[in-house]
Amino acid sequence: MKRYILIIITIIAALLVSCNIDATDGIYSEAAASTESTSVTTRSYLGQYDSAYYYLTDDGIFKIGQENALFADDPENTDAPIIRAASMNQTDGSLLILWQNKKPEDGAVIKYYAFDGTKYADPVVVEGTFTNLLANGLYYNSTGIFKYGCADSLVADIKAVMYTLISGDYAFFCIKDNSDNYKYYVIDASGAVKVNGIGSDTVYNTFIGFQAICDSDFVLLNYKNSNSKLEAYKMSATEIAADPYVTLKSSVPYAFSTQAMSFIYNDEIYFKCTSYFEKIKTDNETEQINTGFAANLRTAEITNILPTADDGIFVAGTKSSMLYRIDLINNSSSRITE
Amino acid sequence: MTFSDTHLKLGGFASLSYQAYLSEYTALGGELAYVFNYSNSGLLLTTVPITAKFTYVPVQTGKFDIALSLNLGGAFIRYNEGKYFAPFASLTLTPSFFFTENWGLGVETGLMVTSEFYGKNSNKNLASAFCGLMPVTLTLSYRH
Amino acid sequence: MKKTIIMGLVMILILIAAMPIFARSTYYFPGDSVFSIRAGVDFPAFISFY
Repeated sequence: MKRYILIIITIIAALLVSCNIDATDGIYSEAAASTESTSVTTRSYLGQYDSAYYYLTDDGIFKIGQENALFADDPENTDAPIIRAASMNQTDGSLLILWQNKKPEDGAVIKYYAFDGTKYADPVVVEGTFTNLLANGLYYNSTGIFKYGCADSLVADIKAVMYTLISGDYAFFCIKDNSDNYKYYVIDASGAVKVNGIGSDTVYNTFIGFQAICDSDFVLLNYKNSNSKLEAYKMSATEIAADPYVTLKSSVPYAFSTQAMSFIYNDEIYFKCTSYFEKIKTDNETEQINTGFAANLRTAEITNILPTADDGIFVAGTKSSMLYRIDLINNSSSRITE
Repeated sequence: MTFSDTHLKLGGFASLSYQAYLSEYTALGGELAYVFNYSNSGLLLTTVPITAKFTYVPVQTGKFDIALSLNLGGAFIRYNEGKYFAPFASLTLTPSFFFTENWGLGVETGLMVTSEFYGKNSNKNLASAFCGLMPVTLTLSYRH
Repeated sequence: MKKTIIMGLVMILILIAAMPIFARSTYYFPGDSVFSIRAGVDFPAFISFY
């Protein structure tokens, strides 16, 4: 009899101690969201040209449906440069590739490859060494931001580019100018400067999300160190709001990601947070989504999301599972395999 | 309530149990088990249920038994650095064949259910879930 | 989910089928004890959210 009482007491006591520590998502919802990883590590989704999907991985640039890389690092030659970043022009299929030389002092070089419909032309080397190439085709080094085809830099008086965020065709830059002031710029893929060097006295910790609504309306997501909250700020062509207009419920995306990816549909902005997509609705309320289109992507580390020509259809690059097609009309998502 | 594809692969089950008969047909005891399943992304989900076990044996000849068991208790679950202590229940059926006076071999099948519950105010509210697992095991019994 | 239901039905059917064959014969007495060790496979059946 004593033994049974002991068993029952232990069980009841244990039931009262239910807790899930060290996790931001439920255990079973995380397990149910697990997807098979491929052996390929995707770095970014480049875009769609002529109905084919192009993406950049650790092994080079690939097209879905084709096994061999279009451009790859040369494994035979240990001194050959490796592809560090790439950008594709979705109207003509041309590529810009940032080749990183093996020796750090040689820096990284950008080459432009035109596409005639069947093959790529010989590369045109862009003069100079650069530190980064963004998905919308802009590139920069410590002295300026450039676009292919423009001889001069798009923005002058730059000491260093601190960080960048991408939303479709638009790139957000946080720059330190030659007087050591922080300034914010937004430049689109055609080189037009939409937000021209807004300085700010307000202390934002770090902007980690950026969504362009239109040419003069942007939303920035700031991670506030003091309370670990994600706050959304509005930005126009001339200023960033001093106060956030919405605070998200979700937590910071995975530590090693540099940007919380987002897309906009029907005037609602969807940000990918750690285990949910969080949607900012038109009434400034937020909603966490982990079912429907978000079910397969809950634990995916998303590299970037681009809209397609079809309304409501987006393509997301994921680090371990290649590309996913997000369909907001049918509220589903599926992996692109061909 | 929505059902989701588990995204889990076939796993394994092992357990130890001890029961004493309360009457001719019923027995009560406890069971300690270990269950594992790998998920599609290769991570391991472990469930360690600690339960009280109540068994009803409607059919018992000297050589052949059919036992219906109910386990109630809690399980420690662990997946990808998340830990949880969940309520656990299972219902199993064990036909056994005793090849000697004391030793028997049976096949046990059934359903194990654990649940994860988060309150409305928790930031994991959408993650409340039930998980059902079906063990199919070979049971070696010693009775005296 | 379907698998679970089928499994459950099979269990019940076995139970019902076996009952009349072995009418109320008993073997165990109160105080008997049983020690079991089990090992086998585990099929994931369902994860449901509520």
